[in-house]
Amino acid sequence: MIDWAWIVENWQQIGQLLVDHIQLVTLGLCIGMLLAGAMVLLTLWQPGLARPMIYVCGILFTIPSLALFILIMPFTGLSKTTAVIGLSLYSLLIVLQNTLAGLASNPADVLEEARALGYTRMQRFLGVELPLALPALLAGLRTTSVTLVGLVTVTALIGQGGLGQLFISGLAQSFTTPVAVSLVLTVMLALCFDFLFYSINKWLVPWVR
Amino acid sequence: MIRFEAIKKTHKGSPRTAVSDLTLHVREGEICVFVGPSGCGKTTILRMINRLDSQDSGRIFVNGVATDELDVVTLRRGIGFMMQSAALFPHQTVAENIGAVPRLLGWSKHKIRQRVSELISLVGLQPEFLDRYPNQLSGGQQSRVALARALASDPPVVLMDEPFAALDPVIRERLQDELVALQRRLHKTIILVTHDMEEAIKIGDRIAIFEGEGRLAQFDTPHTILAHPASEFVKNFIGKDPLLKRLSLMKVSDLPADEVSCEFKLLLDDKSNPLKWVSESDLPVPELTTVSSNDSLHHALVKILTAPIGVVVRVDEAGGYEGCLSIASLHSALNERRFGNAQ
Repeated sequence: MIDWAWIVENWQQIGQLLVDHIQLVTLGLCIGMLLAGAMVLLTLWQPGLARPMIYVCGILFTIPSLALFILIMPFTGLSKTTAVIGLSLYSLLIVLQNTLAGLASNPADVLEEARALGYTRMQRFLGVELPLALPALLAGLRTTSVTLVGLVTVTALIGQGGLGQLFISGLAQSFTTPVAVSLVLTVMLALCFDFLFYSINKWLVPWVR
Repeated sequence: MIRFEAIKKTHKGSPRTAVSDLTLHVREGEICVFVGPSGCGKTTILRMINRLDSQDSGRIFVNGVATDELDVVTLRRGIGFMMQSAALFPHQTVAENIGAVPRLLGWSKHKIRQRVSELISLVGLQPEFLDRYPNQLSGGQQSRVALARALASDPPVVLMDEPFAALDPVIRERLQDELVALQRRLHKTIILVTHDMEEAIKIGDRIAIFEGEGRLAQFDTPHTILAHPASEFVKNFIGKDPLLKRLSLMKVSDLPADEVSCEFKLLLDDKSNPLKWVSESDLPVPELTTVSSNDSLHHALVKILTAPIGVVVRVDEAGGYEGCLSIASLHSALNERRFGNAQ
């Protein structure tokens, strides 16, 4: 069933694909987070924007991933850029939605007290609102990372895809081993990311019992 | 210390006046209690002082400076504030919560640490609480921390918006007592908002009673308000038994000491501490009941009513004999006061 000899023979290539995979996920996550951060700052300046933003995120999120990549392709071709743009957009949507929801559910009396004690707007955001929304933000990153690990495999269809390439080639040759290797590695990678953010959360948010 | 001058306010989109032409002067070092039914505007008035709310017209002076002339952040950092829900920062330890304002003011770490440990004992908590998070504290403990936080930078003025309303009665009463005791040492200018007249009487040096639309119904000492309510509204608001409330304000030491006036004689020991009743005839001797000169007259009344012969012996703080107390002495004291004040 599993061709162990093939795995041993190709381990270098498999390793490279794994690194590519991690790279794509990390890039998508980081860029998405930065964009989400910028948009959150925008809502500080224009609080009225938060609601429409959440709304638009919800709508955009319903676009099928493959369709999204195909939509971007005319501009950036079959390149890594296409993959990264698509992945970043998805992570932007999830992270932004989670962060805005987290900020919106911060206890009003605590924010009011911060105002009464003489926090400036920025001090209030960095010292109270953001730390309190951190669990929601991290939950967003956790979901995003796991989602992206899966999404990256889809980008194999536009010539990228890290471990997803093993799917494509395995399927094309009706050869199970690469498919199985790819499956096991992506699942393990997703679990690793999941555990990573779980640990960060435990470390950064000691005040939630 | 805090002067309101012709303050008026109408909430946006509301037909009702929130505050109608308020002029009021809170003196330095007093606890002034704002009391009134809900929606009477007392909280709005309190929040105007540190500009959490704004007035439509009129000015407020804190320590001679108009609040609208100061930078709002500077103004707020110079005034302690405590809310009904303690509203501690959940993500900060007790120590970080208490140190919040000193941190904003840029104190050194060392100075903040020192001040925080000073405050934690001031509000009656053990130092081991400093490293806990708010969700590990009881409601009463959270209120103590919130009080410490409000006092952290040693502001001359402290505003308290129903600070004890959410606590259970036993804890509430204890914290009220401690606030009064604390104030004797700190001499802050405190404005405290409550809807509870009992609390106002117990804590306030002076009480401002508000009726609807932020109108000041009476502003005076608890004694005067209870003895001479200014209007029908005040009379209704202070409740059924103002006399009993006045008794709880007065102390045994406010009355002159009476001599024993009953069929028994009192036996003192060599330190003049009362020992027991003795009888010249064969009457059975009742048990001795004493009250301390520090007790409230309300407490003394209960003792008198339950004492077998209707007479209790009053002693000083060391337990030494001072005299006796009976219904008659309470009666004459209250009537003297009433007539004395009426003149």
